[in-house]
Amino acid sequence: MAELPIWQYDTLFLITVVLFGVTALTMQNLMSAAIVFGAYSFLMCLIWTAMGAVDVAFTEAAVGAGVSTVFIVATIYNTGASAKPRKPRVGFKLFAGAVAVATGAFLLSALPDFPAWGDPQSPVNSTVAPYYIENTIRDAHVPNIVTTVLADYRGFDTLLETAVVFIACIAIYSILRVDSAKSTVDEPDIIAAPPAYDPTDSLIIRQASRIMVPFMQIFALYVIAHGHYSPGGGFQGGVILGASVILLCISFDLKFVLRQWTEKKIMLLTALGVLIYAAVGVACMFMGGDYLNYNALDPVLPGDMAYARYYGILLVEIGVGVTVMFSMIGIYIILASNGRFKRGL
Amino acid sequence: MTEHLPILIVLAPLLGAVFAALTSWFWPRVSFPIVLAGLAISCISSLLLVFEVPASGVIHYQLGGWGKQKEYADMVVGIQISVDYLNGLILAAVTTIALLTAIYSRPTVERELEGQQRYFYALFSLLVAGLLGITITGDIFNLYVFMEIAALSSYALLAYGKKRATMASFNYLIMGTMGACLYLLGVGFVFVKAGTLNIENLSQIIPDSLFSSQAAFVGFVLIIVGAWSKMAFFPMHGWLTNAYTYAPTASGALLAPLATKVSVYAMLRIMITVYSIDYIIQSPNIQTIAILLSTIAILVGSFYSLTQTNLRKIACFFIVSEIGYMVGGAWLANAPGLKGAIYHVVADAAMTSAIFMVIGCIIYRLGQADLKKLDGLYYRMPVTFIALVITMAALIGVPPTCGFFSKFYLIQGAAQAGTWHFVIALLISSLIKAIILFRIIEIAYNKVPNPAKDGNETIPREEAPLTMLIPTALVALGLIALGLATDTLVTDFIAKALPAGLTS
Amino acid sequence: MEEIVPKFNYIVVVILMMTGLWSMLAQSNLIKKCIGMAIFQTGIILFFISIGAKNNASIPIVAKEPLGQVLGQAHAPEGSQPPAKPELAAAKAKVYPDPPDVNKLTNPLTQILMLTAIVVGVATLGVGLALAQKVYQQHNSFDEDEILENQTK
Repeated sequence: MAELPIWQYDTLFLITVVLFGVTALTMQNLMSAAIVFGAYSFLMCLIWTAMGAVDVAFTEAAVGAGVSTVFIVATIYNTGASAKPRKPRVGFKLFAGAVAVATGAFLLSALPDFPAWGDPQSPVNSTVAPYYIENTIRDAHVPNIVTTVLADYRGFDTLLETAVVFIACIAIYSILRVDSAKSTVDEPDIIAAPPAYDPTDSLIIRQASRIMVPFMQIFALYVIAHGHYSPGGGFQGGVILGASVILLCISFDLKFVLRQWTEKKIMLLTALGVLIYAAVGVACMFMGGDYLNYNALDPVLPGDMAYARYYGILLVEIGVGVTVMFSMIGIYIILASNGRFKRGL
Repeated sequence: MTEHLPILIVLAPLLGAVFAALTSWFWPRVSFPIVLAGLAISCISSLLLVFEVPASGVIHYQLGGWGKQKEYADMVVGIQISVDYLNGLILAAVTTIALLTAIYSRPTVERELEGQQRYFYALFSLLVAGLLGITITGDIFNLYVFMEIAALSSYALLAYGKKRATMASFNYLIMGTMGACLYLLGVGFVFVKAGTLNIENLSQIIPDSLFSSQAAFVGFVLIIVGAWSKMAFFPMHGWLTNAYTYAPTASGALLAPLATKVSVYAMLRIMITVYSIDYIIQSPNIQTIAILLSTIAILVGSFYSLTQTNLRKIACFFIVSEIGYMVGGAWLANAPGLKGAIYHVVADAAMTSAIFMVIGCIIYRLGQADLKKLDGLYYRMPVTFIALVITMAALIGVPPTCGFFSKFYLIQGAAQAGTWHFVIALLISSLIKAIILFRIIEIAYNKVPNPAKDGNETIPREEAPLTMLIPTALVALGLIALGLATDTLVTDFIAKALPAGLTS
Repeated sequence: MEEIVPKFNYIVVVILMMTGLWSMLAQSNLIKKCIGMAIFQTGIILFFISIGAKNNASIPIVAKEPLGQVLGQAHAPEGSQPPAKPELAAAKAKVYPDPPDVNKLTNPLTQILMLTAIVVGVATLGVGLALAQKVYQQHNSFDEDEILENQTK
């Protein structure tokens, strides 16, 4: 899979990805730039799948092409701004260009020193990675090596990553949250839709999303639970769960979703996932092991030592999924409603 | 329980923040004590560990129980955190300053952030957790994740300020992310050739086989430039002054002493442990460039501080020049230079903390901190004034404060290496700080008639509240205490952090 | 051709990263800076994935061997007895190869690191967009030059 068997397609993808990247950065209309950025992310997923990185491609499809694009659109939707520069700034752009070209040349100077492409004996492939590949079944009975490394061998990194998502949610909340009653800044007008379009009349969109959302959520739960055996896991499942609610926000009204998912619920549940993850580690400490050493939980979990790790990984993936889901929902609602939690995109 | 102390240092603030975020919706009054408890546990753990290091040597902690695997050439397969001579003191300093700043910040938060306080202390605690994580980790990719935790929290903490704070925070975000991405790219280049991310393993692999590798060299330069972006080293210092000046008092008092110094520690760790000092010595071109940039950083910081009247902006430019001291000292690559650089990390954290706390007290009582409007400061706020004088004396380098000893080591190292431009820059910056101190003293002794009593009496004495005053006084006295304890600190800790063969 | 394409891959990676970097520095529109940041980060991720690629290797999920193969029966002849229960249980336990062939599976380590990098990237993008929106609320513009003029008035 990773031998670039159809080199023509791979070269085509690589060239197209650069074209899309440059286009996204030079378009004047910000909304179009956001959409082209989404297309760029999708192409990146394809390139990574071709190189054998399926979990990464899954995450990029969900997070990069999906949620990032929606965030950018939510930010600029009410502004009607375009990217026409006020001053041409030619001198500064040339200077920055020179810096970029010099850095690029410096980076490429190391290219002859790299090991051959795809070499199974390169330092990266032969130092620590063989341990993971050879011992994942023995240590944790989990076939998906990426999940084992993510949640067990390098589980601390994943705890911090979950904390990063949590921090992003509360940071955006702190930056933008405005109490409408006390605010001195006028609430921006929602840009009027064309006169022929009546948003309450979108029967097809509403019915279609009504049907899709439950299936999306079941699929997302499957992704979290089956992450041990197939590409997937807590992050991807959590993002799909969040996307299902964001779909409701977009196809119905933001107020409709806010009736069920209040501000308090979302922000509390965001913190809960990090707490679950950290608490699993603390439980390991209380049972006598190191932090996040799931072997210590063996007395309370079914199966042998390796299954203790199996279930430990499952528990932390659930924690990750909870935080990611509610963070994505929270960030979208805050960005789309300009921090007021009243009405929005 | 004592074998879990290393992870407690990072875990306590992290859990404290999560609990504070949860309780802020039910019992808001409980959030601050929870955060304070987390910081206190962290402080006690780090102090206990610092004194254990001379007895037991380097203390390692394997997360998840994954340590060295014998069948795989003793490679560490998990993530390791470690406390040794280099980061023990820095951990103790960061936790202590964070705890004191948390106590100090209460009145200013209530005054400046009315109604918006819900997540302030959670973000505060998360920032501290991120900084402590950078200091304690033994894995270069883990360092990147902790760096981003600290960075995201700081963007939010800085954006709490007045109107100009938002754009300043956005600029900091762009520069900070650029630095972090360059760091990550550097990690990639090192990883391509070494195959592992663990600092202990890398310190054996790189001197063995990678000294002449171009990819390892590119990785080294990228990591260093990334760290320089994060510490506001010239020429990437533009974001610092705006970001810290318009931030609320509490954010500035926490970020200014700690964030940049921890990035300096990251640079030192890569230089001393991962690549070893021999690598620096064999790349004299980069050494010359780095020392030249440090000299310019010191001069730029000092001269700009003369042109400003806002005390906070002056303090920010002081930070820029102090970073120049540390980077220059480290790149001298000789024993006095490195000792000076490491000692200065701790000393400058204390000095910057003191000066930002003092300025915060002045703003709290006087409403502004303009150099020209400090009339009668000596009569109105004598304790604060004395703390200010002690801090400025430390910045100038007057014995027995800690500032004198760091300058002493740095000048000794520079003289040994023959880089006289660095020595001259150090002396000029001390001179400029002395000028500013004399201006302050002159204005502070002006008696100002009290407008409320028709000019018959002077304005009565009114200090900042005790919760602000006591931490300020403690840190200011700490500057003197650090100076008096220099000998123990250097011989028992800092000298042992340097590689064995570096006697000169 | 097999040699040029990998080098071409790295050159494209560097071009992407430098485009993102240039955009972060030189563009005056705040949203474009954020998009440039995202492109820089995805470029770095492509770099890491490239260095973890392995020739003739499959995705890093250990595949089961077919149960019949483990039991030693290629095709069960018609009317033969099904295997006894303990034998079946033992065969089911050995369904995963022990140890898996390192050369058949791609390197998982680089992929983990990049999972983390993607998530950190989207978190930073979110915070950047929130700050940009707040700046727009204060100054009614996403353009850096206009904002600077506004601030100094």
